[in-house]
Amino acid sequence: MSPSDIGIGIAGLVGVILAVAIAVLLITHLLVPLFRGVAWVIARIFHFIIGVLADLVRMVGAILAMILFAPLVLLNIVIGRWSASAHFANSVKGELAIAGACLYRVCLGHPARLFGMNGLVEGIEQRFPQAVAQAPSRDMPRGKGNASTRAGQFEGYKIVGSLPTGGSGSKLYIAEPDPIKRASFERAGFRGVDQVVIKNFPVDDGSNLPNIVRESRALEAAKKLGLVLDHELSPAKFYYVMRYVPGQTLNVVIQQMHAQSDPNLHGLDDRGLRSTLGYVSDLVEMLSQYHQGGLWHKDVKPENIIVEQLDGRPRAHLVDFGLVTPLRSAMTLTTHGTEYFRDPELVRLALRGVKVQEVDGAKFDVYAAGAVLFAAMENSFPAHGVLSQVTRRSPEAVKWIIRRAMADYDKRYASVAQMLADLAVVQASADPFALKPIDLPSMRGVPIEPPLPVEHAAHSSWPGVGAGVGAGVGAGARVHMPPPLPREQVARPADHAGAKRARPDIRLLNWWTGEHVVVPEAPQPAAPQGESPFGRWEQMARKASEHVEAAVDQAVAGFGGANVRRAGTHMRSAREQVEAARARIQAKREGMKARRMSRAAVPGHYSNKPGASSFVSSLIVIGGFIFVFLMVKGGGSSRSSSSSSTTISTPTVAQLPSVTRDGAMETIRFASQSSSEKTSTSKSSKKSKPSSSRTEPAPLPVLSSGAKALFVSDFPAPLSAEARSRVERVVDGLRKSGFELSGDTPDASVGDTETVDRLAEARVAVSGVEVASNEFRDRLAGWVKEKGLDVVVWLRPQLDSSGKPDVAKSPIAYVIASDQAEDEVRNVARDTIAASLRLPK
Amino acid sequence: MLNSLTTGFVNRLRANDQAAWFELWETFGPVIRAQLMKWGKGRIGPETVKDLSQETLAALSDSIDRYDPRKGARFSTWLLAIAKHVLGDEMDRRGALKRGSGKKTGEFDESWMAAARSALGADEVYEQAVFRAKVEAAIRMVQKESDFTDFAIYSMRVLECKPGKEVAEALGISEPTVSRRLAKVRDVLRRRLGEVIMTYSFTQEELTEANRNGLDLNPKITPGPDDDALFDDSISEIYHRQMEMRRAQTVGF
Repeated sequence: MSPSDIGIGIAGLVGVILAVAIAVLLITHLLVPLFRGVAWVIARIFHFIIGVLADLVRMVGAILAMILFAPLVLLNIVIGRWSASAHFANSVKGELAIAGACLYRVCLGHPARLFGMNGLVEGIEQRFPQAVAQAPSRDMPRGKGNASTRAGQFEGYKIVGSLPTGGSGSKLYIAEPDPIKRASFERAGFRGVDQVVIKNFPVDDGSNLPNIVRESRALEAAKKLGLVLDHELSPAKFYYVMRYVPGQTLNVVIQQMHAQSDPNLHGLDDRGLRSTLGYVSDLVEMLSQYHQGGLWHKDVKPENIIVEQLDGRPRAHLVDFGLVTPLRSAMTLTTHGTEYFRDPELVRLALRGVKVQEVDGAKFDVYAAGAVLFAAMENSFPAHGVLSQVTRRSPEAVKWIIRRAMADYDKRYASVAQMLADLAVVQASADPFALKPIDLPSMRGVPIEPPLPVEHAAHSSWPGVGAGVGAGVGAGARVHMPPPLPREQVARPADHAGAKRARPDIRLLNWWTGEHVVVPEAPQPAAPQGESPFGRWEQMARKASEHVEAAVDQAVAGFGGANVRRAGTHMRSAREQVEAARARIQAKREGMKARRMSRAAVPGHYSNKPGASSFVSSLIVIGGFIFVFLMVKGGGSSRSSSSSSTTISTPTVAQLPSVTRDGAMETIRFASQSSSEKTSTSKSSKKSKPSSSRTEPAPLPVLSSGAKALFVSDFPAPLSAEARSRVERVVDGLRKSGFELSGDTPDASVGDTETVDRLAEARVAVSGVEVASNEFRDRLAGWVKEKGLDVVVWLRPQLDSSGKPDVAKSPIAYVIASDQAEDEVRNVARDTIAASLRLPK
Repeated sequence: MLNSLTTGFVNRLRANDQAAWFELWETFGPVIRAQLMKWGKGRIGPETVKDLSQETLAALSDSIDRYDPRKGARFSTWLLAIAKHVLGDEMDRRGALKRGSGKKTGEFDESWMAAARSALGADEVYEQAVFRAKVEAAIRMVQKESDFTDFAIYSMRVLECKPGKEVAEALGISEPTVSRRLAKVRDVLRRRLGEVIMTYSFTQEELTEANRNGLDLNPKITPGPDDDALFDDSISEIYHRQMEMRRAQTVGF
């Protein structure tokens, strides 16, 4: 074979390989997509044909049914059966609607989809039915009589329109207040109220008692925040009046924003993004106001957010407080709310019978706010809950905010203030897409404390916006809730310079422990520009600390004393104090002796004659010896003469507990004496009962082997400083005594569902039973045994004359032991609690 | 033979443990709703679908005592049969209403159900949805159990398919830290997935579903990068399919 043949052979081989490679490439890159495309087209055509045929058949069926129903309608009219006639007429109506829908799909729906024009029919199929469903009902309330008498159902108001009804069976009317009402609003501080919304609950037209009860409960809370202008609650009717501002719901606005965005962006454009962040910030600000007022909205969703044009700028308002709940409510959690915007954890806790006050309801609003932000960015529901992913165009920082807000109960933002701080940073950023999660304040660990709780006066906390609000009734107009505070007055980190906060005043409750409360004082000028957003809070904390230090120092100086010990310093034991006293007396004795010797040593003053001075000196010496003798002999058991100073240096509680045992339950109770009373009466009581006024803190008993205990506290949450101190003492004492403690301990995590579950079970076990009764004891003892616990410690505050918990008084502790628990467990628990509550604070 | 987790779960259902029922609803509710929507397309609205899915669970609570897994039926198949029955009742009731109250109830026609079947067959599609729901339940458990940032890293890296470098820059941490935290969450997910599959699987066939879907729950002692990558890819794919199903539901609602 010649070299040329070999060359030709190789060239041929290379050619074949190249041809095969090209063929493979053609097949994979051209033919496969081509075939896929053809298959896709065929599938579409097939779906189109099947769809058209199915709808045609269905339409024919509906027409046939109509033909059958029509004579029945006529026949029943002829024979006078009006109800049956109406029934068949409704059936005809239904069949007509089905036939119409089929005709629409055959003529427009299926052809549009065949050519990929889904957007063409989107408005007809989605937005149109939604608008129809949300259309307002009749403009006048149902009732007998002419128009004027119907309007008179709401005295002082003239009805001018209506709004879509809510889920509670209520009817919403737009009305204009008459001059008298308007004047009364002015007097109450609600200025510029041109139109109002009346939420009416007609018992004979859709409303039921549970709804009315629930709304009336929310009414009290809403009045506290100044959300309600007027109301009437009587056996005959129930309605309340709110301010009205026209606007569109956020879900409509979201749809419009997405429709206006460039489709190639696959999400909101920059303008839409800014608007969305503004709406959500408005929402979060409003939620902050709710939470500061001690309320929880519970139904935050786009449908309940109205976007209003105020002075040319759109603002979002949160509406519909039908589910508003006090954060400290003692009622059991309910599952009310809207799916996808309601935290699934809320449902779990509600199913377990957890009470509202046992959770932080504000966090559920945080979840809902995150879900609203998700819905705005994605134009869809957060169907996956916390696992929902934003797939449309969105800055990474916004995704992070959503993720954080919708995280698990104990992992999400602790308060709306934290979320607002993050949102403010994104809003302030020139390019939100350049912002990273690490740039957010919550990620950088910037401490954000919520503002001090404020009492909401009806008219002072919610400045009116009526002056700037149009009076017209828009198509999408809705009920309006009070608007968020103007931006310059809202405490938010981004524009802190304009904020005005109250300067705290420190009121010392107990000079010994340093216990104090922060009392707001007169407002101070705003912080200078450029100061740290949270600088004022730091200053407040520093000042508070300084005030406490100064007060304690003053108290120490006032009592003269080196003997007086400050809180936190080492306190000497009784033995050390006695030894110190002996040393002092010895020193005095030595001093006296020295002085006597020095006088005796003076020459020229000696006389053998006993004079008056000698007699007095002898008396003094003898008295001194007697005094020293008594002091030395008395040791640490009696302090009658020096009680005023030593009581301060070693304060003890002038109380001994009374312990009663009733079967499985032991009750530890102190005399009903407040701490302030104790201070004022301690001296007199010491005189009369010197032996009982001083009790050394005895060492806590310790269990020989561990025991499981559940700790239940009935102190109202959040715990006051005094209540916390008492609870902590008991909890610490029990732990030191060897109890494995769970339950209402101050260090318990709210997200610890197992503990919450157990507490709820314990409360359910004795629900409806009087505390300390035999049934209470028996039920709890049985429950303790069933749960494998050894003991339950139930701490209850004493009640004042009005029936409210008085945390200043010593609480009552109940120790309920399982009948299988050893006596030691019961005794140690009892003694520990008694000792802990008796310990000086 | 049922494992202890499965038996325990069924016992909890039988004891009317509300947490167990909620767990069941959270896991299977979306699947049931999707199936009912598919069957009732054009005939029942979203609100009716919601009502029927709740009625399905109510019917299940009535008959949970009669469920006997030893007969070889999957729990999910049994649930599907109940849903079908509930839907049939609803259509039957509507038919009777149309014919006028007090008249003889018409015979229920199930032929339209067959028309809704896709090429794979309704049962197969349904079982795939059930498996995806189990995976979602496991991811949800891991999310609850993990540290927030750890799971955020996993979510960004696996569910959002972001490169490790991008995740590290976004969170201000190093790439090795991202890898370490990712591995931590992945290990937990493997364990939880095993538990979930054991809890909700009632037949031997169901127990092998994970492996068939590329999820190796018992890798060798030190799984290599390939094992982990395959596991992450499979999770990501299953998760996105499940998300598509949920999205389709929200469009309907």
